[in-house]
Amino acid sequence: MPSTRRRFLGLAALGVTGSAGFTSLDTRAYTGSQSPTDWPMGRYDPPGTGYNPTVSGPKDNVAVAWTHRAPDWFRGSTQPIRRGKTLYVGGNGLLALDTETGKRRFSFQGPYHSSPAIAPASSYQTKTLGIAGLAGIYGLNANGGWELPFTDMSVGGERWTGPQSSRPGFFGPAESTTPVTVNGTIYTALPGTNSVVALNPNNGKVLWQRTHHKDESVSGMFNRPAVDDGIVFVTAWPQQATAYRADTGEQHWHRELEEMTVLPPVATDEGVVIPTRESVQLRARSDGALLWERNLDGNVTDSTPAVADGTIFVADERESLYALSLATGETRWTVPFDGKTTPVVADGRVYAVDSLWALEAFDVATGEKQFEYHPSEVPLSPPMVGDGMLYLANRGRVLALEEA
Amino acid sequence: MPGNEEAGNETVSSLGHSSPTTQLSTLGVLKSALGCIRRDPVLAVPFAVVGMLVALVDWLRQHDSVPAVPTDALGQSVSVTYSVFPQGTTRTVRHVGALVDLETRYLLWAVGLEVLVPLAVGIAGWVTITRVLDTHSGPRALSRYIALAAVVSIPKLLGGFSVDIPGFLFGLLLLAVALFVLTRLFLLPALLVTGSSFVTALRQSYHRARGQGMTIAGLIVLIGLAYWGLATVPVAGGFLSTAVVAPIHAVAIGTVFSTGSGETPSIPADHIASRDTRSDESQ
Repeated sequence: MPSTRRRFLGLAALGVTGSAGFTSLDTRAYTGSQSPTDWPMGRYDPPGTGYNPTVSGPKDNVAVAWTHRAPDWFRGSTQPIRRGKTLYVGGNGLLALDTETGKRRFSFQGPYHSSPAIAPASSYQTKTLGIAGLAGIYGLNANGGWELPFTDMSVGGERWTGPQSSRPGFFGPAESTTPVTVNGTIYTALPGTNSVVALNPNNGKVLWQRTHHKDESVSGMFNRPAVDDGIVFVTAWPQQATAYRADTGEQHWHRELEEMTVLPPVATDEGVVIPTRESVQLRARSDGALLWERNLDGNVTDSTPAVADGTIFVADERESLYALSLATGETRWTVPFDGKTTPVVADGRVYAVDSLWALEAFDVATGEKQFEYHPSEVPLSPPMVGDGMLYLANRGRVLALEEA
Repeated sequence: MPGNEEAGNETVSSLGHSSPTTQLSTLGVLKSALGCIRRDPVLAVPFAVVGMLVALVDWLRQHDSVPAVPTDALGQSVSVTYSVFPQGTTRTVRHVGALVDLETRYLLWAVGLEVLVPLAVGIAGWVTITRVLDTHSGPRALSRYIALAAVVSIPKLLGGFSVDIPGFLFGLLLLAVALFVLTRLFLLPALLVTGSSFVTALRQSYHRARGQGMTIAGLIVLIGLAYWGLATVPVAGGFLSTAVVAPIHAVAIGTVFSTGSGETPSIPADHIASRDTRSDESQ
C-alpha cells in the first residue's frame, strides 16, 4: 500500500502536470536483449551461481573510480544489479546510476530493500524490476517512470504492489531473499512468511504459491530460490529442501535434511548445492538424493556459496573460505576468512566481502589473496562485477572500484 | 400532506431569502428518496445498469494484465466513501502510475476502462437527478456534469488523497472542515443538471445549503457509510454500492434541492411541511 506521503504527492502531482506536463526520465528504452556485462539479478543468474563468465573485475588491487553519495533515505547493503549502462541499487528505495560516472539517473524512496531483478513485462515498453521489501514484493518501472518537472517527484515509478505479509521480518529481508527472474516470471520468497511465489511481472499477480508448514506454528522464510531448467529449488529452516516445477508450482521432490539451518541453494548441471550450518551437500536435481556431503564443521548462518567452473566457494563462518570440487566435495584450497560472505566470481578472481566490511579478492585457482579493501562506512554489500569494475552499495553511498 | 409532521421534519426560514424554505431531517430526506424510487422505479434503472458495468470493470481490472489494487477503503474497519457526485465505491482501482510506459494497446484498453466508468456514472447521475427534478437540460449541462464528475474522481486514479494527522483534535478539526465543504457542495450536481454554470452552481450550492447543514451532513455520513458498507460485500460489492446507494443519493440531492427551492415536483407531500402551511393552519 502506498505510504501516506506518496499518496499525497500523487495528488499534488495533479496540479503540476496540468500546467507543465511530463518529461521522460530516460530516453533509452530497455527492450534490447541482455548484454554480456548485464547482471540482471542478485547472485547474477537464476541458478544463483554468482559467476559471470563474460566479465572481469580488478585483478591485483583496487582504487575508487567514483563514489555516489545517495539521498539521506538510502541505506544500501544489497548487491547492485546492472542493465546496459544503468546500475540499480535497492535500500529503502531505489537508486539508478550511470555505471561510468556514477551520476544519478533517477531515484525514489520506498519500502524496497533487496537487490532488484530485471524482468521483461509484455504489457509495458520498459522492463519491470522485481524487488522485495520488509513485508512484500513490489514491481518497479526500470526507467523510473515520469519525473514531474521542477520537483523531486515522479509518477509511475512503482507499477504494482505484489503479495504482502502481515508479519514483516524484524531485520528485513536478507540478501538471500532476492527475487529471481526467468522467462518472464518472478520467483521469490515472500518476506515474513513460509511461502515461495511465482509472480507475473506485468501486474504482480501470484501465478502460484507454495508454503511449508502451512498449518503449523513454524516460521522459516524460504531462502533465495535457485531456478534452472524449469525447476525452482528452495531451502528453508527447518530442514527444508524442495523442488517445484517453475510453470505450475507442482512439487517435484521434497527432502527433510538432518540439519535444521539450511542456506540458499545453487543449481548446477551436476546437482543442487545445498549449504547447511555445518556442511555442504550436493543433491540430485531429479529427486533430491544425496550425492555427497562435505562436513566443514562450520557455523554458517548467513552465507551463500558461489559456483564457477566446477568449484564451490563457500565460507564456514568460523575461520576459512573453502574452494571445493563440485564433483566430489574435496577441498581444492582454503584461506583464512572468519566472517559471513556471499562471494562472486569473475575472470579468475573470487570477490568476497567479509562480515559486511572487508572486500577481499582471491585467485580462483590457488586461493592466494590479491587485495583487500576497507571502506569508511559499513555495511558493504556483495560486489557486482563488470567492465573491469566492482560496484558495491555501502550504507549511504554506492562505490565503483577499478584496478589501481 | 400539508400539516403532516413526519418524523423529524421541521421548517425554518433562511435569512436573506424572501421565499420560504422547508427543511427536512436526514431520515425524512432518505424516506422521501426511497418513496420517490418506490413510486417511480425507473429512477433506479440507470444506476442498476451502471452497477453491472462497475462490477464488470472490477472483474476486468482483476483479470487483465495491467496492475490494479483493492480500493483502500475496503481494508478499513469503517469508512465514509462519499463523493459529491452520486457514484458507488468500486472494489478495485487502477492508479495512473500503472499506465506509465504501457504498450499502446494495453494503454488504450486501460484508459478506456477508466474513462468508461466515470462517463457511465456521470450519465446515470444526470439522468436520475433530471428525472427526480422533472426538469429538462441540454447537452451542455450534461457535459458540465460529466466533466466535473470526472475531475473529482482523478485523485482516486492518482492513488487517493490522504494527509498525515498529527493529533486527535487536529483530526477532528480536519474532519469538521471536510464535512462543512462537502455539505456546501451537496447540491452542486442538481444545480449543474438544471443548467447552471460551474461558478454559479458552486455559489448557489454554497448558499442553498445554509440552514440545512445538519441534515445534509447526516446524509453525507449515512450515504458514505452505505457506499462503503455495501462495497465490502465480496464480488458483488461494486454493483451493490452503485445500484443500491447511488440512486438514493441522487434522489436525495433532488429532494433537498426541490425542498430548498420551494419546488416539490417529485417529493411526496407527506414528507414536507412548510412554515407557511403551518402558519396557515394556526390562523
